[in-house]
Amino acid sequence: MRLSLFVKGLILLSVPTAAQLAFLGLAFQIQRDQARAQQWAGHSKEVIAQAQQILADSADASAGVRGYAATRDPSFTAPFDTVSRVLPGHLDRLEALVEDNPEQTARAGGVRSKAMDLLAWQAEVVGELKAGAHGRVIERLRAREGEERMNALRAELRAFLQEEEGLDRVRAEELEASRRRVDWLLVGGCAASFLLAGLLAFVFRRGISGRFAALVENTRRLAAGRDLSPPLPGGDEIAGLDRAFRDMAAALVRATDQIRESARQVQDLYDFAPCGYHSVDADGTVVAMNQTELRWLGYPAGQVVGRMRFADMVSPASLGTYWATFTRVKEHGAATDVELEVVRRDGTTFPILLNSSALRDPAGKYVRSRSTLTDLTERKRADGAVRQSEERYRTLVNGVRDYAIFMLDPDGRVTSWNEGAQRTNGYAADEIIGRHFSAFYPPGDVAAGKTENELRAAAADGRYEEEGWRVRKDGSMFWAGVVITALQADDGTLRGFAKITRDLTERKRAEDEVRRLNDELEQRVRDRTAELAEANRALAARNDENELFVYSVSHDLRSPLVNLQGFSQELGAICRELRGLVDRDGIPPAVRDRATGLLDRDAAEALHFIQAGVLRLGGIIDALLRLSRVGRVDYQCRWVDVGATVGRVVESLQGTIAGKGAAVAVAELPPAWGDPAAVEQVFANLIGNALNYLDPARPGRVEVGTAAPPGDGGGATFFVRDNGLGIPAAYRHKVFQAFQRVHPEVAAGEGMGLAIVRRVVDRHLGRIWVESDPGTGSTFFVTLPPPAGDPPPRPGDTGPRRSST
Amino acid sequence: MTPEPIRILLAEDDDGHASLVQRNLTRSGITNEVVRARDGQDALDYLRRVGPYAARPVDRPLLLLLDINMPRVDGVEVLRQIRGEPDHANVPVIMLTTTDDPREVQRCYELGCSVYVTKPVAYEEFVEAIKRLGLFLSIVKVPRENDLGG
Repeated sequence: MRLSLFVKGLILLSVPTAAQLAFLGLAFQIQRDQARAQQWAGHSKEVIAQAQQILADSADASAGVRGYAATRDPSFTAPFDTVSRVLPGHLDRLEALVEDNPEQTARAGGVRSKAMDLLAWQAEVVGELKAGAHGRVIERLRAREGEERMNALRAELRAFLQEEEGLDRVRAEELEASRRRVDWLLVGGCAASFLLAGLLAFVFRRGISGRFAALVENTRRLAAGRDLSPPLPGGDEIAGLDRAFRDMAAALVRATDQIRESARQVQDLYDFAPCGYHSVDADGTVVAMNQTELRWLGYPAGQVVGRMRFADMVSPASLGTYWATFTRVKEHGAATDVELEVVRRDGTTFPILLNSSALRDPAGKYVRSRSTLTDLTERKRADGAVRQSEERYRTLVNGVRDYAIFMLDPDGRVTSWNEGAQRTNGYAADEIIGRHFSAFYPPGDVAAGKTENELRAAAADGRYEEEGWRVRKDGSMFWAGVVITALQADDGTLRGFAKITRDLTERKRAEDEVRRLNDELEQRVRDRTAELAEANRALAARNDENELFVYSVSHDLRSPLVNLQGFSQELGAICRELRGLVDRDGIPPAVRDRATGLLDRDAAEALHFIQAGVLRLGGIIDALLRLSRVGRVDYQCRWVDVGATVGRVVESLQGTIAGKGAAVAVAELPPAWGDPAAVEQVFANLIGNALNYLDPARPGRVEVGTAAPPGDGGGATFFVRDNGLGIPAAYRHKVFQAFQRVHPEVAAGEGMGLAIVRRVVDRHLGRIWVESDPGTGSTFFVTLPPPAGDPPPRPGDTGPRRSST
Repeated sequence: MTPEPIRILLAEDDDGHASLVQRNLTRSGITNEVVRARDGQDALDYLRRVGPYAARPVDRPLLLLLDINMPRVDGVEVLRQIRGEPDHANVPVIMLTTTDDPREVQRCYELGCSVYVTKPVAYEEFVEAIKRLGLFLSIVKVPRENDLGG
């Protein structure tokens, strides 16, 4: 249970109080019961006494009456007189005592009737005696009248008493039981009191004092560093205190661990740092030395600390330096970077670097030193290696013959010179060392600041590289490949430059020749390309010019044609009117015949030829206009569903197909990039042509399909194949020219269809060509290339993408 | 008030065409007065009442029958100019020409011609077109000159 201390205290106080209250209540109750039992017991005794009084009274009266009868002495009537006076009162008293008990009340009634009956008889006898009728009285006595009545009363009273005595016994028992209860209550109360006190003591111990004891125990454990006992259960203040105490203990343990870990790390650092640490006192005796230094020197700690001076471990050669250093530390507080040779326990020596500072007491007196030792063995060995390496390098550089390798100081003066440099630049080492390297540059470059710029660039970027003209000692020029490398000291200051120069004159000459040839070739290609472009432009311009010319000529031709057509029709109308006039009556038959002949035959024929000529001329002009328009119309290019387009064309040619009894087969066709109307125009023309020039000798068959694209693979290639008349080889090159008709006898037309188709395909950047075999049929091929970088769409996707003209 | 009969201004350089147009107008039942302008400049002068037309009457509404290909000022230019003049901006204009170039047709409609009729070579078609014109002329409501643009 999670109870606070306050609640627990409240319980400890209230439990005994409640127990006492309960005990008092119980005692009161029992006392009241006992009083009632006592009262009832007294009551029964009183009833019994009253009944016996009545019996005694009646017996006294009877005895008096009998005495009076026997003695005739009137004094014997005294008891009777008394009884007859008090008896009704005694009877009333008895009835009053038992009125709470109906059975006894009934019996009391019986007692009253019997007693009053006896009293009445006695009174009768007394009266007769007083009147002197003794004989009659004696008779009555002998007849035992009085005795009978007395016995009746006795019997009645006996029953009453029997009942009342029974009640009296019961009440006496109740009284006794009540007394026993009081005794038990007292004994039980005492026992419960002791029990409760013990229980509360236990609870107090367990709930409060025991928990405090656990807390006290834990503080002792913490102090002793032992593990803490398990946490206290419950939610009271003591448990809270326990938790807080545990948190504090945990924090304390952590902090202690950290301090311990930190101290261990510091100790580890001191002992095992990759340098030696030691301290010496004012006499120079070692007072502390770390493991690293002990290991270096080969001594166990016990043999050194407090027993040896550091001077004992310094080689004789360094001893003077050491003592001077030690004095300096004691007097001035520090000494840095002192190189010493120290002796190991086995007698071998090694170089070290000593740094030392003094620890002083508050009065400024030297207490001990703080010294670090660095092992210089490796560094000394490396220094030797560097010297060797430098030597090898110098030998190598000096031996190089094809490269000029030399050094410059930061200002650009030559500080070293190799054989290659002598061969390349012509100077001997003693001629050039100490001179500025601008001696190798053409005077113009030097004046322009080139040498300074190169050094500045190399210093900034670490490296400068170029090819350029240089001057030899004899004044001749050579083409050099140059690399200048900045040399920097460890602290970043510029120490100078290394310069490597190679004579590239031969290579440069070869490269220049190649470049010159290349340039020449490129120039030629450029010139030729420009010529071709110019020719193309001229052709295109001429084409445009031609189309414009055709356009305006066609227009100009149309105007007179309208007149020819219009007025020939007018003439026809005039002829018809004249014919009407001629038919009228009154015209001489000879004139009428002649006029009829002129009008019906000659004029009609003339009009027929004029109109046929006009019609033909109109057709030619229309065709020319259509052709010229092909060159001028704007195309709205998109992906065209060629299958659907060809389907529409075939549908519109259904009449012709049926008339010719031909069969048209259309394969599955890919989409093509183009103007939808133009694409339809192309297929309408090709399929129409195929139908027009079928061979009547065999059933016509036209086939539309796709072929593999030629060569470059750009775009779809469609074909329209027929088994018609075919085109003789001699005319094949003319079929795409305007006004060229191979079979003028077979079908009407201006010979313009294929010219227009070709122009359309040209404007789509496509190709059209024909393969034909007279007597077998012709196949027209058309390619329509896709726009650059745009793949064909999925089938059905033929929405506009972009337009081109 | 009964509407005034329309006066037709026919701008046509070709006498033959002019004659054919007038014949066919008559044959279509159009009896309106026809004034002939010999080219675009002549038509503009008439409209603007300058030069020889300075004293012409302005008692009737006008309808312009305009050929495109004419010397000096062509029909398209006439159309462009009068559409910019308040007095003539609303004059109905019928382009009547041999050109069936779609771009030219489009340009004329953009400039505000009312009807565009291509002069057909076939006589029957020509008559049909004139008849359509005649139908147009008989039903079109033409505002009186000088009432326009107000």
